[in-house]
This record gives sequence, C-alpha cells and structure tokens, in this order.
Amino acid sequence: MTESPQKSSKTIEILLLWLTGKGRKWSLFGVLAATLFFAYFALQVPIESSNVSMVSHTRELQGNYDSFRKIFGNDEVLLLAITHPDLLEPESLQTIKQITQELTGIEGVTRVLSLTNAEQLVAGDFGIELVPLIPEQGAGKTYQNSITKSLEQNPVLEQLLISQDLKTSIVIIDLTGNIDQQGRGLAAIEKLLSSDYSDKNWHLTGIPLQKLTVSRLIQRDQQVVIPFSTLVLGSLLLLVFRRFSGLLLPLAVMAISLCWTVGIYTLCGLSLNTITALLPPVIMVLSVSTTVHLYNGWLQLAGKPGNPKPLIVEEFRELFLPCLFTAITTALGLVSLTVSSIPAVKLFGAFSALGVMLAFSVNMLMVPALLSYMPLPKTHRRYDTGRLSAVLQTTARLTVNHPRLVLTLALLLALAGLSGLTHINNNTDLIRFVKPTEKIFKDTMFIERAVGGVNSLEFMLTRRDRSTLTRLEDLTRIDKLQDAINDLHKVAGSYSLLSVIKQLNRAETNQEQLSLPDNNESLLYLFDLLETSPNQKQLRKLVSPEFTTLRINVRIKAIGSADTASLVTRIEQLAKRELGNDYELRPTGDFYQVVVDSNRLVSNVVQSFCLSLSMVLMAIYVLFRSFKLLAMALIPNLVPLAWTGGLMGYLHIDLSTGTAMIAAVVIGLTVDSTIHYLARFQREYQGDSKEAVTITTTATGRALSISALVLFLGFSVGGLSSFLPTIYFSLLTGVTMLGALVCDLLILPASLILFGTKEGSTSG
Amino acid sequence: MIRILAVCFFCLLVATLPSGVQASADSVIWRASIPAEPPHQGEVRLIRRDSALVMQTILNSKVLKHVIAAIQKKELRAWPEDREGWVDSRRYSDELYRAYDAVRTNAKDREDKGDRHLRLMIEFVLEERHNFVTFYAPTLTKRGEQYSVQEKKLLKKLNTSRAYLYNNLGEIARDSFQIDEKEALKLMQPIPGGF
Repeated sequence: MTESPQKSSKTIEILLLWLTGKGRKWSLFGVLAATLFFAYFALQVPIESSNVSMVSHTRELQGNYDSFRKIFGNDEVLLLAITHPDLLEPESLQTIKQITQELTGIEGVTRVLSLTNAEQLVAGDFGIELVPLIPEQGAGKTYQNSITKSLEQNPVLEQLLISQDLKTSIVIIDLTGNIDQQGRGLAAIEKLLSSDYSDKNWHLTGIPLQKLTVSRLIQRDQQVVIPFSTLVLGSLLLLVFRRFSGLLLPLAVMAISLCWTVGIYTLCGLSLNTITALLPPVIMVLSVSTTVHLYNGWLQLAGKPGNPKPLIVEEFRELFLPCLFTAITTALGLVSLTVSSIPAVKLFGAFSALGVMLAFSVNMLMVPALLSYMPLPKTHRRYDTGRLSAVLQTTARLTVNHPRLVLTLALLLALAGLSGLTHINNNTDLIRFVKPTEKIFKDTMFIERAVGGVNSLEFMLTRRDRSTLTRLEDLTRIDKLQDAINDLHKVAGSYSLLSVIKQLNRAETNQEQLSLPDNNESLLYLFDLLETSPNQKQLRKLVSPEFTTLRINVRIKAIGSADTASLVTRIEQLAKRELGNDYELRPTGDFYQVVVDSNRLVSNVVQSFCLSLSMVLMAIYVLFRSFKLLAMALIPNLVPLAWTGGLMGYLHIDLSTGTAMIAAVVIGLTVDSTIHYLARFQREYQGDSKEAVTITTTATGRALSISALVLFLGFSVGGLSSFLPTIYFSLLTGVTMLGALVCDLLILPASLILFGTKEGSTSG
Repeated sequence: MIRILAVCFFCLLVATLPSGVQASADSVIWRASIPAEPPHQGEVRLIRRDSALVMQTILNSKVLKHVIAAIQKKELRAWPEDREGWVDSRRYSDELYRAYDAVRTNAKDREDKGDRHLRLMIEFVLEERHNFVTFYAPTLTKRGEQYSVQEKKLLKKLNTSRAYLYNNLGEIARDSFQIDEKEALKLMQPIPGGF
C-alpha cells in the first residue's frame, strides 16, 4: 500500500469520527433542510406532454422538419373511425355528419374532413364545380350505388375516408400546433365521443392522442410504481434484516435520494418523459444497495464489546472505499448513456448517475450518524444461518472442487447467448410502447386494419435549381414516382398535389379518367386555377406558395422503424430512378425522426457500452492495480450480458429506446458485486485460494445475494409500468442482476482458483 | 380671335386624348375588388357619368374563363325564366362568352407571351332614355387594388330592357359591394330618368 491510500483512509476516519460525534446533529440537520428544499420542487415535477425528448435533434433532421412545418403547417391529425354494418344508410351518414359538425366547433380543431363534408371537383355546366363527395339526400340502393360510384371516381378520398368493406368511415381531425389549445381540444373531443356517442362503435387515434396518453400513463405509473417499489423493497428489507431500523434506514435514504435527484431535475426546468419516468424506481433501488452494505457492516458488529462509536467508524472506514467505488462504477455506467442522441436517454443517464452519487452522499452523511445513536445489536443469529448459507456453501464447494466444469458450462451458455444475440431486431414502434390492452393501442390497430396506414412518412420534393415544379415534365416524373411508391408492399397509399391536379384536369376536360393534362399550356392553366382557389389554406398543405416545394404524404402499414427505414431507402432509390439528379427528395415528419433514431440506436448502444466498460475497467484497475484481476473481473460481467442478449433474441424482444440502455446500465451495476467479492477475497487470501474463495463466497456472498435480490425485485417493479420498453428494461435488468450474481459466485471464484492464486497477495 | 383659337385647340386636344382619360371624368360612387376574398380577379365600380349611372366591371384574370362561368352562373340564378328580363339575361350571357372569346383570340397575338392575364371590361349603362351593356377590351394600369383604364376597345354594345338593366345594377351592387337591397338602391339614386 502506498502513502496515498493511507492518507485517504485517515481522512475517511476523521470524517466518520466527526459524523458519529460532534458533527452528527449538523449532518442530520443539513440533510433534513436540503431534503425539505428539494422535496418542494420534486413534488412539482412536470410531465412532458409531447414526445419531443424521445427523438434526437440533429441539425439536418430538425432543419428539414422545421421547414416542413413552416411550409405545410402542423402535420398532427387525429383519426376517428366510426363503424356500422350499414354505414351508407342515411341514418349512419347523419351520425357522421353530426359528429363532423360538432367536432368542427371544438377549440383547437382547425378542420374536420369526413364522408359527409368532403367535396369533389366535377365538370359542371359552367366549367369546374366543387360538389359534395356524396349526395346530401337520398335513400335505398340507388343512393348507395351513387355513393360507391362517387367513391370509385375519387380513389384518394376513398382510401382516406372509408374502409374497403364500406363499414368503417374515417373522420380526419386537423389540430392546431398550439399545445394548450390542442390539449383542451383533445379533452373536449374525448368528452364528446364518450358522452354523446357512447352507444356508437368508434375508435380514435393519432399522434397528439398518443402523446396525451403517454403523459397520462406516466402520471399513473408514478402513482403506482413508487409506492409499489417502496412496498417491495420494504418487505424484502424486513424479511432479510428482521429489524425496524433495517427497514426504516434504507427507506429513509431511498426517499431522501429521490427527493434530491427529482428536485434538482425540476430545478433544471425538465419534465418527466417515458424514459426519465424510470428515474424514481431506479434511484430507489440503487440508493438502497449502499445502505444494505453499511447496515450489514453494522450488524457484523453484533455482540462486540466496548464503545460502539469507534467500532462503527472502523467498520465503515473499511466499507467506505468499496461503496464509493461501486457508486462510481454504477454512475459511470449510467453516465455513458449521455452519448445517446436521444434526449430522454441522455437525461436518464445523467440524472440517474447524479442520483447514485447523491445516494452515496446521503448514505455517508446519514447512516453513520443515525447508527451512532443506537446501541450495537446484541446477536444476529437469524442472519448468520438459514438456507442462504447452505446454498452459498454448496456454491463454494462447487467452484472449489470443479472450477473447470463451472467455466466450461458458463462458456457454453455464453456461446448460446451470443448466438441468440444475432436474432435481435433493431426496432422502435411508438404505438407498441404501450401495452396491447390500452385503448389507444386497440384503436390504432383497429384503424390500421380498417384503412391501413395510421403512420405517415412525409417527403419534401424540390428541384435542385429551386425552380417551380409546374412543368408537365416535373409532374409526369412525380406521378411515376408516386405510382412506384404505391406499388410497394408496405405502403397503404400516397397523396400529393398531383391528386388535386388530376381531379381538376378531369373536371376541366370532362373526362372519365384521372390523368395529368397532355400539354404545358393546360397544366399552367390548372395551376392558375389553383392559385385563384378560395381554399388556399388547404392548398398550402400540399405545395409551397411559390410552387417550388411539393409535399408527398406516404401512409404506411403497421410496421416498425426497422422496416420503415428500409422502405425510406427504397423510396429514395425509386426517386433517383424516376426523377434523376435534378430533384431532391427529403424524408421528414414525426415518424421519420423515430425511424432515424432507431437506426442510430445500435451505434449508440455500442458507443455507450464501450464507454461504460472502459470507465468501469479503469475504476477497477485504480482499485486493485492488477491487470490479471481486471481480466478476471471482466468475465463475470460480460457473460450475464451475453445471456440477457441471447434471451432478448430468443424471446423476440426488439432493441429499442428502452432495451438499448440495459447493457450500459448493467455493466456499472454488476461490477459492484465483483468489486465487493475481489476486495473480500484479497482480505481473506493467506496463500490458499480455495480457502479464501470458500470464506468470501459464504461471507460476502450473503450481502451480494441480498443486494442482487434487492436490485432484481426493485427493477422488477418497473414491470408494472405502462410502457413496454420500460417493462423490458426493468425485467431484463433485474434478470441480468441475478445472472451477474450467479457469475460472481461461480465464474469469478472458479477463475480465481484456476488463474489467480498469486493475485490475492500482490495487492491486498 | 385668340379666344376662338384657344377653344378650338382645347377641343382638338380633348378629341385626341385616349378614351380612358375622358373616362377620368367619371365620378366613382363605390368600388370593390372581386371576389371579396383574395386572390382578386378584378374590380367593380359604380360610376356617375354625366347623368348616366354605370356599373363597370373590370376583369383582369388568368382564369377569365372561370370568372365568366361564375358570372353566367349568377345570371342564371338571378334571372329565372319567369322573371322579366330573362331573355336579356340570356343574350347578355351569350355576348359575354363571345367577348371572352374575342379577348382570348386577341391575347394570342400580343407580344408579352409570359403574361397569361386576360382583360375584359363590362359596363351596364343606365341613361335617361337608353339602357345598354358594353363590352371592351381594355388596357389597364393597377395601383394597389385599384385599376385605371388607359385605353379601351369596344367589342360589343348590347341594348337591353330597362327592367333588366336596372335590376341587374342592383344585383351586382348587392353581390359585389356586400350590401342589402335598400343600401344598393340608395347608392344608385338618383336613377336617370326614374324607373
């Protein structure tokens, strides 16, 4: 040992003496004051009402989306499906008409389009006339035939407004971009439908409603997950320690750490989102881990004679550095998430790391001070005996007697896990973030099945020379491109200005077929007509005022980001083929941003995992100063990750925003057990590694098992979340913690027996 | 002698001036862009020209065919078969289309091929003893939303019944100036020669 550790050990001792002596009142008062301050803000933490933090904001992507919204306006719409076996009967149509009218009057609704107010362009006695898509009055078979004929003549509207079986009608509700008005509008729409039309078969979906649902579910999760986490962790602590102080102390540390972290989060002006909603349960679980080690250390003093304060100082001085290092490694693992391009993941990484370090500080300020007020436990028999000890002894015997067998089995399982890794799909689907039992999920899937295409990709088309897109040559090429896009298997339909031009041309020339004009002069005349159209607002949703940028809306079937990414690539290839090099097609829109993020996810995962691993390795090296121990510490930390990855692959769990965080978070946590094991092994090693392993496994193995169980159960509470990525993250992280425990109690001791005999003595 | 010369010179000057300048003697009672919502396709003006009352419609549009169609549609609605003046309305509609055709044909020969606007001016003239509609191919200048006529080439003069012309003045005033019948009548006072 060098002078420096001795010096730091002395400093720690002075600090602990102060915390258990004169300074204990000040320390506890300081913690209380800070807690009251932060609790005030923590209770006011806002909840994000949009998915803005779930998408990255690269300059190019955001620039495209900003200019898209500037030109074409807000692209957020709601889709309301109304289903009736006799949809085209006057009574059903009257209901749709009534809903359409009532929705139009709601604040925040800018336009409502349905079968009953849609219009078509036809050739009239005096040129082009705008007439209702379906006749306003009529009944019987003739009336229905006239409706179906009208729909057949307007395939784009037909695709948008009615299902193929003519039993489901879609009402498209355009909303304002103003978030407050949008919120009030959504509430009013839901109220209208659930009160006045509760007897009708309706389904409602759309990105604004998905965002509102996410916001509501986060609130619900906070109300369920935090109390349940407390209950689970409390029960576990009571079961393990069988003392009220063993229950109250960790719970107090947990609550205080949570208040501080969430309070700072609020003070930074941040809102909880789908991912940062995980902060409370994660911090609760991680903060309790250090308390368990400290309290376990205090219990070890049971029955020792003399003044308890020096004994506490002595015990906690030994535990201080391992606890600090485990907190640092956990925090480093979490901090590595900040390399992610998704703001929600960055925030989660930064604030959970902060939470871990704050929890360590709270533990060190509070636990010694409070325990110094209490007499030492007299006996601790229950803790020393039982099934756990028997299991640990068997484990120790297994590793000592059959180290090669243990390593071979672990290697085979790791290989199986690695082969499962290849089955993992990189796929994010915002609607599939919520459980299939949620109404929004059912409604979305219903509408997907009925008309196909709730999600849309937006494309902005311009000429590279920025000239107008008003020549017949331009439009003919774009028409071919749209035809090719519509032929793609995963595309439900596309819509652009060409649909309007074709309708205009049909009405102007009194033709049957929808087609583009056959000469530039006629086309220019149609553009002149468009320019003079009283409905400029709707026209601006399709083309820029100077006719230089055209919007192509591509509705896609229910596919995730992986398939969508390849679809976008295919469309870009088609654009290259049909348009040549004179045009630029830029994909954009809310959904496209999710797709791009998903594609970045793999590189993000690799980056944050490498960063996490290297920082954690550095921390281990600083602590043990041995490359051989470093190499041995790696195995029990990487193998459980391979197992979890394999599990994900075999269970077809996609790599998404939530599951991508597992590796980086877990490596920082699993290494904690490795550090505790190696630290104890070094202390116990007296030349016989088998004996040192047996003692370490049976003694430290107990704390490690409790700690892993706490982490497993604590994370598992996240399984009660309403979001699938959160559920997968929680359950898989919990399972990985158990895997890591198995590795730390089997693979690490086996490795130490086979390869690490000298390491115990070199750096104790 | 000098006085006689001066009067002769003035008369000569007036005779050589473009007709538009002569029209500047018109006293505009009311004017409005049409349609009321942009993009406007022209202007309607109620004019007092000496004792005559003139409803002047200046059209300057790239989609003149559709503007004409809209006018014809309004005529059809305003003049059903059972209303006195229906025949005049039919004749007016026919002449209107012919005037459009003439303007379109003339536009093919003009030098500025980039300008796709077609221009037509219609005047409903109610004099003490005469009632007629005239169609012109005008040359226009525009300041803001207001037009001034630099030149005008007569395309057709159509005599109509007094009932049709008087009532159509009222119809156009109500429609273009967005006023009710009472206000329209007030604007048109005094009616030359009475009604």
